[in-house]
Amino acid sequence: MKFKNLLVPLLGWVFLGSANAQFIDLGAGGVKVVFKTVDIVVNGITFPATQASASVMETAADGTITAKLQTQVQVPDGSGGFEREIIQKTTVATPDTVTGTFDVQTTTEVLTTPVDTNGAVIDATTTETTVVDEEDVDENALDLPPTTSFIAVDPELDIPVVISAE
Amino acid sequence: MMTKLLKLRVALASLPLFGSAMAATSVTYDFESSTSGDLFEEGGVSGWSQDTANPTAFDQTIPLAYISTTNFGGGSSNAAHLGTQFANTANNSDTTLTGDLSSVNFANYLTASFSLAILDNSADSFEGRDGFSVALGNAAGQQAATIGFTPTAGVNESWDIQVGTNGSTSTTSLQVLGLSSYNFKIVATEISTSFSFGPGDLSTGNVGILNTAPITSLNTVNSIVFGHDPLADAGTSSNTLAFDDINVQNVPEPSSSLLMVLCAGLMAIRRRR
Repeated sequence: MKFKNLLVPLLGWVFLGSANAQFIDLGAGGVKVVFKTVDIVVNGITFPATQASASVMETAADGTITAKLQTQVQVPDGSGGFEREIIQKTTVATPDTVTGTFDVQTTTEVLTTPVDTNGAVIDATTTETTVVDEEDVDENALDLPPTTSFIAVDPELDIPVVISAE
Repeated sequence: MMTKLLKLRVALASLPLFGSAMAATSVTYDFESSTSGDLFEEGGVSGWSQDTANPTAFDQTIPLAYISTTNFGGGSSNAAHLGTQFANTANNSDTTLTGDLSSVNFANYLTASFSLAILDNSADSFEGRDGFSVALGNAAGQQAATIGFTPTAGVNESWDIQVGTNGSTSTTSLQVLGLSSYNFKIVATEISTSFSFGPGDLSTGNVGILNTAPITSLNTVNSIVFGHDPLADAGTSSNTLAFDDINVQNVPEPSSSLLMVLCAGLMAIRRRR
């Protein structure tokens, strides 16, 4: 069976939950969500928190690079409650064929949602958007996020030759 | 959440031996009653439990263990998968899947076999590599027999094999290759425990890994446990242990049975003389 025939049932699963359009489509396959413990400072106090992140990057035929980074962390809101903060950052780097540099537009949306200690939503989400434009950025200075994409392995396994150690 | 019952075959058969009837019991897990995408968490695969919760983010559950299709050499079929392909635990905690064997009474013999592969694309950006293990668990929650896999130093596509009984393991000179299909077998008697492995398509017989001490209190073995030990820094690996066609039974190996029948025959001839 061809792998592409397997990929759909494999990835159709579980990416359970919201049917809303995803900033990064985890169900499309090939993107790993990386979980790390990070320190978050709120009102001068450091809290350990679990941060989830996923990122993808595409390069179009004309050389335009589009990178998407999404992170989520749940932190104390400083007044006894908790907030879930999702940051969705899109970087579009358009090459200038004359200078070899890039014009870069970075759009950052911060979605903040009050939640209870279990992460259940208790109030409406607020969204804050910022857009930053830069011109004549060298390729080495693009500062694109490392992708968490992976290359799916072929489920048709190799048959090894097993030789005794004796 | 789709939850499909796994086909758990508890096969009961009577095997005449020495003129008396000796009950033989086995447990088989082939995951064919599951659906690709089923999760082990919260009883999603019948007969199995998962000790670590799947992480959630972006309103989605991201699995540490799931059913997916893999071809170990006998054709594509559902198989169990455990590891960090899609997610990891933030604190790098172990994840174990425990299969129930409590329906079997292992009095004097135990034979366990299963297909196994470590899936890792050494060309991707996730360069970390993790360890895995397979163990027969007992009623005290200890490992009665263990096969361990740790990354081979300096060889990205290889894992070293360790084996042992009663909670301890010995390093061997043998390895498994990533993306390759293997069959492993454990044969435990009151005298010794033997570990062997071979190609997953069974095209050739297994070769011995090591003979070790017998399992203490063999009759308390009640589970088979597949473990993921994240040795790499959190989020830096994308390794998966795939396994399938687990069969655990309490009857002697054919060679052992043959030896016993031969001995019984010799005793009968001697008595007749």
